[in-house]
Amino acid sequence: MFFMNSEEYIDIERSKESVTIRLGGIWSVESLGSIESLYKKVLPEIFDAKKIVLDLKRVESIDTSAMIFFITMRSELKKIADTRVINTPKEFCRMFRMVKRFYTPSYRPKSATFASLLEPILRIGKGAVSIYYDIVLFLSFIGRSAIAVFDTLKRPSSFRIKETAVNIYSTGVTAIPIVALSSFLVGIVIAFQSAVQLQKYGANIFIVDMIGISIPRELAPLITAIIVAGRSGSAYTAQIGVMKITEEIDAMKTMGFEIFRFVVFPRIAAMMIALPLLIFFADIIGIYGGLLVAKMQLDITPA
Amino acid sequence: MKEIIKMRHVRTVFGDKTVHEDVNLTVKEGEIYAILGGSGSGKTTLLREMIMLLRPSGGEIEILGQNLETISQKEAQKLRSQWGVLFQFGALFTSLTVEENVAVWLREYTSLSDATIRQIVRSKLKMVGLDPDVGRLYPSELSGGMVKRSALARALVMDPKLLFLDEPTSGLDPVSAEAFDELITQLRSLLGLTIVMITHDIDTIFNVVDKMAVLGEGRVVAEGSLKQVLKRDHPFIRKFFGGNRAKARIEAMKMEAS
Repeated sequence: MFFMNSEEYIDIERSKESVTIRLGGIWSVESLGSIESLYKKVLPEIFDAKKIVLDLKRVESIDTSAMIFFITMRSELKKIADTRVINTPKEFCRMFRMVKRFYTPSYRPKSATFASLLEPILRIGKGAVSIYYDIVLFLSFIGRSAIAVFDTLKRPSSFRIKETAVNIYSTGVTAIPIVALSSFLVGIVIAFQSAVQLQKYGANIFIVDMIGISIPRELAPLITAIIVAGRSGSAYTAQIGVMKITEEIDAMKTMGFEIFRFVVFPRIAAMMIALPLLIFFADIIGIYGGLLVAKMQLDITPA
Repeated sequence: MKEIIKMRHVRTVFGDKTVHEDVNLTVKEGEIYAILGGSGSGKTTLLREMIMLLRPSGGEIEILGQNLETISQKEAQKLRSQWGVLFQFGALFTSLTVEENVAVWLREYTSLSDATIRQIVRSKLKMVGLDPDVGRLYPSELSGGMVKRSALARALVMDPKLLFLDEPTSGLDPVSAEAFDELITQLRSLLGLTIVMITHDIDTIFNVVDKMAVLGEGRVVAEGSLKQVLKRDHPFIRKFFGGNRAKARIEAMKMEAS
């Protein structure tokens, strides 16, 4: 198929009054790419033909895709000149009759019009409208979550403890390693960079304040929040997305379960409990990282 | 006739659960072959092993003359272009329109021009009985029957020799199911396909299927034509063909024969 000389697929022979196009080889979807480009090359040469003869004698086999191409090709040739098909193999004939039944002429893709020039403006408008709806949806999400919170406060027994515990585990406990690693590294980096500067002024001891204030007040909460937002946020999206596809959400709605109380609030509550604990943990690890550098770089011991 | 699929002593074990003990079956060229069995009998697992989504724990599978155990990466790729798979829920790519879904194989593996691809895709959609204009819709905008037909068009786009169908008529209403059965027989005679399917549909089994294998207790408890299978005495076969609908069909079959 692939080692075949592509000239064999389409070959033309001119005589005075007619052009004979010889088709040959295996016409299949794999070889159709080279057949098509060959045909495009041949087409200008026969543009002035008065009569066209399609000789199919050497076609070994043809599949449906190639037949669809053949039918299109034939109707194109018919527009140029009177076209006759000769030496049709039996198998080819059978395939032709079959494909003819479902062959659909292609529609012409719309050419560029004035409307298509306005396309970018249209897109900006659509984007703006969708942002507006996103904001409305976000506000309604906050509102409905708040209602779910108040409902739960009114009837504390309806609080989904098990669901919340599972979410505390998945967003809190399993996030410990990555939070530890990043806050440890931040602690080290901050301590090391400030140690270099502080040493110049002989203010070594201030590294303690540097680490002790910047880590718990700024860096640990920030790092932890970014990690949890990225990690658990995408996990929640995936979980709820799957629940939506498997129609779990719809099942809850039809059973009269308020999804904000069942799906949303346990996750928010889990975050509210897990996040401060994680931050506290990140504080400790971050300060420990700074402490190591202070000891090694500036010889300041903790005790 | 050529043997298209050969399974010999196939064993499948998940953890401590044995799904297939010793499965042997043969699918010949041009057949419509059904795999039957109760739920949990490992029909889908067997199909997934045939299409190289899963490796059996033991035994041999030979498809179109290739042994799946020893097949090279390159040969496997070539083999994959010779079969089409219709998944139970269609598995259309949701981010693409129907037309793009059907065209995806052509765009990836051939160098055809857009116009020719569009031509082929529209004709193939018509072939599976869809209006070619459906091509502009996204999978989420289609009905169940249309999803199955579009997925079938995608499975047939590269003119495969072998077609795998996972419960082709499940989830369709009886009228669409019958139309789909008819389409499958038609395509078989038009394109000379060999078809392997998993089905629970009594009507499909009576109208379409040439040969079948019944799975039970991890092996093939019966293989052959409907008549041959009905002769076998096995709890699953008795139960499956003991329902009212099946009984009526068997009666009709006997009447016709006499």
